[in-house]
Amino acid sequence: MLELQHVAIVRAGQTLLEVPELSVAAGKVGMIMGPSGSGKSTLLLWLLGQAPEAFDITGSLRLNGEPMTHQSVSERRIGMMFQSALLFPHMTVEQNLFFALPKQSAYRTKAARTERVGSLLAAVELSDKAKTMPGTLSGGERARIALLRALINEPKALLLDEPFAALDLHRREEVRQWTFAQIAQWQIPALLVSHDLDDRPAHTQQCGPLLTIANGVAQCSTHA
Amino acid sequence: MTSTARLYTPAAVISVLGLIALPVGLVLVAFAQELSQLTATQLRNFAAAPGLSQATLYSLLLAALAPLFACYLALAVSAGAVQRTPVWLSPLLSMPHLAFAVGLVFLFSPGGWLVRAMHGVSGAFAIPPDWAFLPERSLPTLFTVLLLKEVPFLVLMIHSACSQLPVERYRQVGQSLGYSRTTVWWQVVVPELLRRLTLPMAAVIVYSVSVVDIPLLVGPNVPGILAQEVFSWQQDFAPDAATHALLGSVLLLSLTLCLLGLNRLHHPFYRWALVRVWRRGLTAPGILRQLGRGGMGVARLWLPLMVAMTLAMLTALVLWSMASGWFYPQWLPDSLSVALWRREWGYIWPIVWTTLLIAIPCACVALVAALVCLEVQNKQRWPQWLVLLALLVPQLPLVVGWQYSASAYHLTPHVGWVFWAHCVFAFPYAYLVVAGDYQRYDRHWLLVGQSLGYSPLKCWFTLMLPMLRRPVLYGWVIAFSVSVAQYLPTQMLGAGRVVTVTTEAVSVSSGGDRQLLSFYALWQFILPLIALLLVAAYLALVSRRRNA
Repeated sequence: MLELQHVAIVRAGQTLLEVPELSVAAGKVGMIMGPSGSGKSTLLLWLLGQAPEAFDITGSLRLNGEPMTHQSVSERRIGMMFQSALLFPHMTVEQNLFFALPKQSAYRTKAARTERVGSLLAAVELSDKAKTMPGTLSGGERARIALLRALINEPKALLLDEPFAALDLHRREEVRQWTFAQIAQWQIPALLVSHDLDDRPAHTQQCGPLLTIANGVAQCSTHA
Repeated sequence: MTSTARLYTPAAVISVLGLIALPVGLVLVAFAQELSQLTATQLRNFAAAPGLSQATLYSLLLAALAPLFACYLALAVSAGAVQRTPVWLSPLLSMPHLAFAVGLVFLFSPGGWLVRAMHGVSGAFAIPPDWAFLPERSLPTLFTVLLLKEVPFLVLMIHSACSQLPVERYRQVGQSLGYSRTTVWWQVVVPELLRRLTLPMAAVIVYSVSVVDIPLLVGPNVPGILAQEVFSWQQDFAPDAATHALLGSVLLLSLTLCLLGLNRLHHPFYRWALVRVWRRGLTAPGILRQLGRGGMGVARLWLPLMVAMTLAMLTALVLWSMASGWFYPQWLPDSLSVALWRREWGYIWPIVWTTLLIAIPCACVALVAALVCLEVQNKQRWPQWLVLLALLVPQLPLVVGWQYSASAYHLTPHVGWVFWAHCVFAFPYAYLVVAGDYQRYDRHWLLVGQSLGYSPLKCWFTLMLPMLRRPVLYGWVIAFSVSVAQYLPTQMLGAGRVVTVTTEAVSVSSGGDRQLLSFYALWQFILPLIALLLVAAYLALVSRRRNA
């Protein structure tokens, strides 16, 4: 469960955004919509633990009941996907996933790591891309590997900053449904920033709260 | 404060103190002390020094025109493509000025290869002409060396500045309004670029004002340019020489300040002229347009010309160093022999070793300091001129000031001071080479790494550094090459006890032995070339492994 309380984003003494309360349950996708410059992406960066220095942000964040506000990015274990997949270009697809495997886990031996990554790639039908450099992948493949990389790290929550915006319409729908299926399968709460209401999950039972920002105030409602 | 900031900030403070504040501070204190003891007679004697006004005029002309011509040539060269930094820039940048000057003289001097070739083809020039192409020692030769050698640096700076501008959009919009790509470049992009080139141009101007080793080799003599005169006063033991050197340094600084002031006016003047042209609906006369088109054509040929010229220089240096008898007008030497190499090997080996012992760690220190400053600049907006201060103060007054400080604090000449001075001058070049790519780096990659549980420092080493491998390694090569090419600080702070290939090349140049000069110039050329080839081979290996 991801819970936000009394979050206020202030810039140069002016309140940009206020979020009184928001909670997203495991496996569900909460959505934030609002005009450009309304503070959506800044809110996600703050949740990740890296608020831009120009902003003064207050409020509390809890993950599965544990307070997170004062923890660093690496301590929070929150996965993030940006509009660009941001696969590490100097690593193969397999190495990108190796890099993301949790350090204190059962995957300490090379055999265990290879098996884990191999099985995940096989599950998403991308086994043949294991030794490929990210530059040669299609946009849809890149997005799927980026999500896989975030999920393989076993995050406590997932933040999605317009991850489908760069994809063409055909791939967009495919990647979107695949992403939501993965979130449901991994049972983690996710928060999605988007300009497009069509980006919400097709199954209403997976829909978390919808946060609509207007004039600096966020209004929380359930998806229609 | 994050763990990374805790690590970077002290390192940045040490870098700034050791490589910027200390060198400049020492000079200010030393000059203040020395100037306070001056008398009116000493000032009068200095003003009456023979050749002073001519030397000042030479310096003024050289430092005003060579950077200006280099700037417009670099702009013309860059007009074709600015999407990615050309790979050929690093080899051209890493070639030391001195080796370039020697090579140029061997090709274009009255007794050079070109005149010999013309004699071979047409029978002209039975004796070496007085005027042909570039005289061995003259202001035009010095001008040509500085002009050609500064273009690659300015092209690099233009590419870096272009990455911050929507150049392709400007061109598309301009073309949709009926203008050619060239017109859009000169009338829309260049005004923006000139503003961003103020600092790199300042560095080129300062270098042109205070360079000493190149004028000693190819510049005019009796009088030389002002920096040459100050250097010779500084080396002289005559009663007035020390005061002349001090006042000459102050004059050099004043000259630099004037030129830097003019440099600041360059960009507004270009805009002002452009607006006048637009307002009046002026079009260039036909002949000027033809000249402009011709100039752009030459600019397009600049890269192949430079590559061909560099290869020819290398060949000429190798042949001269092995020639046993190569008299005018022979096209090739009588015979080749390794006698000189064998004779000099025992002598040059310790010199090469000293050069490497200084240049390798110096390049490492300069690169680390540059990376640390760039990382801190990401969080705290340090002004760029502060980081580049060592490039913006003429080298000669700076080194003269250090000498005064060393003598005031009773410090004996030592290789340690030479090493420190090399670091001071190599650091801003390493910074400039890496800065463009470093500042363009998408830091979201680091954020992704941290979100996967890695510390900021681990992310910097495992993600950012490998991704920036190419500019970082080229930054190292350039810093190495700058250290190899240092003459003034090595000669003056080492007091002749620290001998590098550069100091030795300048020293043998006064003997007029072309064979010996080519041997030492070749070594000055070879050392950065080896470093560059090693880095290029490593990068090719990494790239091949990645594509395998």
